[in-house]
Amino acid sequence: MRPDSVATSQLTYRYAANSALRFPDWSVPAGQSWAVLGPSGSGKTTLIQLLAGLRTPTTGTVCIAGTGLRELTERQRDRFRGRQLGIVFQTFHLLPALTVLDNLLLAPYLAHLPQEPRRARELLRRLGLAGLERRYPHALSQGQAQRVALARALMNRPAVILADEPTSALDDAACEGMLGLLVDEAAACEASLVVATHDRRVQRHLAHTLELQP
Amino acid sequence: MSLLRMLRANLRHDALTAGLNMLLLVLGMATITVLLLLGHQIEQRLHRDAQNIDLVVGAPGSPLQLILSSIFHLDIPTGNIPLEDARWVDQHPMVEASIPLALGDSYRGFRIVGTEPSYIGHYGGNLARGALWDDAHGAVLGAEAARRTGMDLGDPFHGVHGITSAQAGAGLVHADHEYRVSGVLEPTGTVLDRLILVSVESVWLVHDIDDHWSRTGAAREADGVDDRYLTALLVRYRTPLAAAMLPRAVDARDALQAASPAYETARLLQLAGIGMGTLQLFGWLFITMAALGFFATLYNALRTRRHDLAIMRTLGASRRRITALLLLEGVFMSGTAAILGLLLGHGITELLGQFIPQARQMHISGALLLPQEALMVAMALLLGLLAALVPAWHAYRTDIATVLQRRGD
Ligand SMILES: Nc1ncnc2c1ncn2[C@@H]1O[C@H](COP(=O)(O)OP(=O)(O)O)[C@@H](O)[C@H]1O
Ligand SMILES: [Mg+2]
Repeated sequence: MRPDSVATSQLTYRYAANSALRFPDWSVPAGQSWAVLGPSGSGKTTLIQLLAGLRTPTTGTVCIAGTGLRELTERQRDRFRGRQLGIVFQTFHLLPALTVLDNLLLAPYLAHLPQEPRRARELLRRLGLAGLERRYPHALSQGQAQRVALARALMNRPAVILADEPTSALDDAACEGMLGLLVDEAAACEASLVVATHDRRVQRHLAHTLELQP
Repeated sequence: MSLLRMLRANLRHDALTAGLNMLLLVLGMATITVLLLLGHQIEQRLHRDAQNIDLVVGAPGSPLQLILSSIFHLDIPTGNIPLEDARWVDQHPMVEASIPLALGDSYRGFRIVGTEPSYIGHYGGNLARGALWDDAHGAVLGAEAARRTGMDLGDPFHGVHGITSAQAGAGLVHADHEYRVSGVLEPTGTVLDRLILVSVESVWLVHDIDDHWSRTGAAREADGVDDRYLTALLVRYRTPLAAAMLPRAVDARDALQAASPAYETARLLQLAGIGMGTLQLFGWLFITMAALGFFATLYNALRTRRHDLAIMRTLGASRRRITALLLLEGVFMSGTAAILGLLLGHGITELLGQFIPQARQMHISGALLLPQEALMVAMALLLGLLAALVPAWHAYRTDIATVLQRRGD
């Protein structure tokens, strides 16, 4: 039995001077896909960052794939993040100086994992990006750039894919396409999927929902 | 993906800005390199040419000019000295040895020096082929003189009156005295290479003065006027005491002047050094501007690259790794520029040595490395590091969660 991909308990986070954001106790068994829904300001981004170890909880714990993030030093957390998490943002941020292929290979490089150009090409092919390996990000369409960012998040075979508002900038058709890819690729990597969004369109693609209250 | 690949990619990405900054550094480094190489080689040449010559005795005038004309064969002589006075010097008890020089003529820009075989020995010259002169018609060519005039053993030539190209151009050809190449010297890397060496007597003959100069100072018949002359004597002291006494004794004779090669060379280098120093200042100015440019560029880039760096953190890079990357970028940029600058400097020096006649005479070459260059590269690397220090520190302090949140909203 694999440990839960995500488990939180008693989780709160307080921005200086604001009242604390409280998150429900929550666990995501390996392989499940979840939508984290809530209006703007309800703490979705904050939760994703807590799960990613980018912020340290004010109270409570976060466990990813059986590892408590609090037990790790900052450096260990950085490496853990690189190896166990694939993160996708609203703006699909690629490094402009690197080609598509190098953007993908950056993930294993920075996580000190073996670089597998064949896997990178395979992912690009699956995401309909074959032939763009040598392109630079500025020469990609918005949709292509999004898919490259997704491919990069998948490179290290993460345990969990975290996506923050991956669709809010997209029209309905693109939204459908992107969510389909997220779900399919997460399944292909046997990764759990957490999509945080205020966009209700995502709900029917994802099996489970966590509602955050404002 | 590798560190080098990433550094190169980042450099290429903002190639124009990076290029401009690097250009300044390249120019600065090249300027200083050229000056270093020239200065070093000129100094080396001067010292080698003046080696083991304690004193030069010639006609009164500028001592520097005397040294320039009789040791380095660069300026025109101060005049001639009567043979009587020359012999007085040669036989002075404080003089270990002296080498006579009779100047005044040239052939196709190469000075004809009337002297004795000991002059060749002084610079360690060896015959590549042929023999020393054994009469007033034999001439031994320095390696460079032979190469550039294209003459070889047995070839005849006539001297031209005058030794600067302007003088010789207008000067008369000594058509009635023919020299023949009797020997060619191997290269010595000294002034010898660009001289044509003949006997002192032959110089007198050319100028219609017929008699015999005897180094041993054999008795000389005192009938008639002796109008034989020399241009200068290169003197080696018998005792260190001579340094204090001989120059004064020489200067006391009306027809003579003594000049110290060590002193005049030092003075010359000092004069040249002021010019070099000024030029070097420009080099350093370039480098300082480059460093400021680097700093401004890296610092500005940081603002646009904050998100890039944050993404790298989400991909598993530690704070330290990002910081190191930024520092390395500065070092990589300045290091690349420094190497390019050195290469350019050596290239320019080599070209100067090939195409500027004066530099060619001095055998200036770009194909040598000086220890100072390592120091310059180290300086450039340090500059790059310093320029990157503040941006890197900012990157280290940046809270990536905040950076990512602003973009995500
Ligand atoms: N850097 C910050 N400093 C102070 N308050 C913040 C900061 N970031 C977010 N907040 C506040 O925290 C709450 C949750 O923000 P966020 O997690 O971004 O919500 P969501 O992603 O659901 O829109 C909001 O009320 C927001 O104003
Ligand atoms: Mg948000």
